Amino acid sequence: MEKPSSIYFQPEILKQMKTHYKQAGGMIYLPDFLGEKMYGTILEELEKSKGKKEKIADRFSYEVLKHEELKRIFSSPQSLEMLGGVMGTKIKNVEIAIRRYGHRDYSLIHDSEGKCKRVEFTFLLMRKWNTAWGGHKVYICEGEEPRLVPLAGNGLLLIDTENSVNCTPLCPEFSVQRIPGKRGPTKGILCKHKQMNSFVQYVNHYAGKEKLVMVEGFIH
Amino acid sequence: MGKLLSKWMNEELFGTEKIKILAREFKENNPFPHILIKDFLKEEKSKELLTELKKERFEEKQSDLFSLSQTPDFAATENVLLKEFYEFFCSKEFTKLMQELCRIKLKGGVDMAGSLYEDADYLLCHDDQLEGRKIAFVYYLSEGFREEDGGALAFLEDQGGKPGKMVERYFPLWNSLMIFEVSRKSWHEVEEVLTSKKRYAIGGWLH
Repeated sequence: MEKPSSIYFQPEILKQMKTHYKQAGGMIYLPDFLGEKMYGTILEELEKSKGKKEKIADRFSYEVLKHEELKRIFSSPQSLEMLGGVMGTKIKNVEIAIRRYGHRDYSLIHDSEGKCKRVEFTFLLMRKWNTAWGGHKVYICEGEEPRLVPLAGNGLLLIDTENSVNCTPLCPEFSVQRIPGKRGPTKGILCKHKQMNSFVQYVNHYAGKEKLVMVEGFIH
Repeated sequence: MGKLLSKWMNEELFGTEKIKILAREFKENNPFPHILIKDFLKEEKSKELLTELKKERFEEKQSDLFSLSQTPDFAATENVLLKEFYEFFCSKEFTKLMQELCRIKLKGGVDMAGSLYEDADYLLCHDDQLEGRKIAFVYYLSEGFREEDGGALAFLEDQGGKPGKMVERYFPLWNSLMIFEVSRKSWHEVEEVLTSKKRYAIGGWLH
């Protein structure tokens, strides 16, 4: 049965993760979530996978991919038990979408979003990515600093979008590179909704043909 | 032509017959009423405006929808020429002209600010709808833009309340004024700038 790195199943680590998640106000980032070999194999398969382009211009633009094994990893009883253990709750259901973002792709916050209580997770798969290319998953909430999901492959972010109370950016040490020639320091993403919402920043032309895969899910 | 109009505008533009032609074009253009008026201002005015606009404080702005730089609203600018340009758009003469051209009743009131799109900046698809906005306008002060430089204003058709396929694109043309009717169907976007050239414009809404 497929499952995340064994380190995340060790009782002591699990206890630490639970404490961290609670102290951070419903938020945790788990690097090297999958074993190195498994991650490499899935990434390779996804690179060869032909996606289905989906676009509603005022909502999103990306390719939808299918990968049953990856879905099973996140919905396996072991994973759900582990994630539930971190969150301190029993997980009933997980919704998963595998999306590929390349040049001109994005997702926007929509007015209809953000009303149901949920914990979101984001898992990234990519070869190389420059932060100046866009493609960040960004969480925003009125009056708070934006939280950028680090653009690193094999990292899982778990975030309670309803009850999160910690106002610290997810990774304060994580700086976003600038496109050469642009002025000024990197600015935060403006907040415009009371509820915490997320979007995927537009991928600009510097990405060329590079793409990143994002597994986006909701835990109910 | 009124005194204020003739001070600013290219005199070849607005005879009675010319207005009728432009009004017809505005109404008939798809996917929603719009028109691009070329050589809108007297050439020396457009050059002066760009010089003064570059002196303004541009603030970088980012959200899920856009990455661009913008000045504060010109209603509060201390720049004499930009203030005059704002007052020109607020004037009864210009309001009357726009009403005749667009066949849209205006209450008066103008939102106006400078915008700057640099390399990789963009504005994703939206409809501009906000209470009171009747006509959107963009006056281009972008020098030397070609189609391959990006930064085009693209119009998308409406498909059952959602934006559909793109049907019209206008790349930023020096000294041209784009105006379009704001409605639930006025889906538009500014395509990503693909060059180090700077896409300056003055834009806003007539109420």
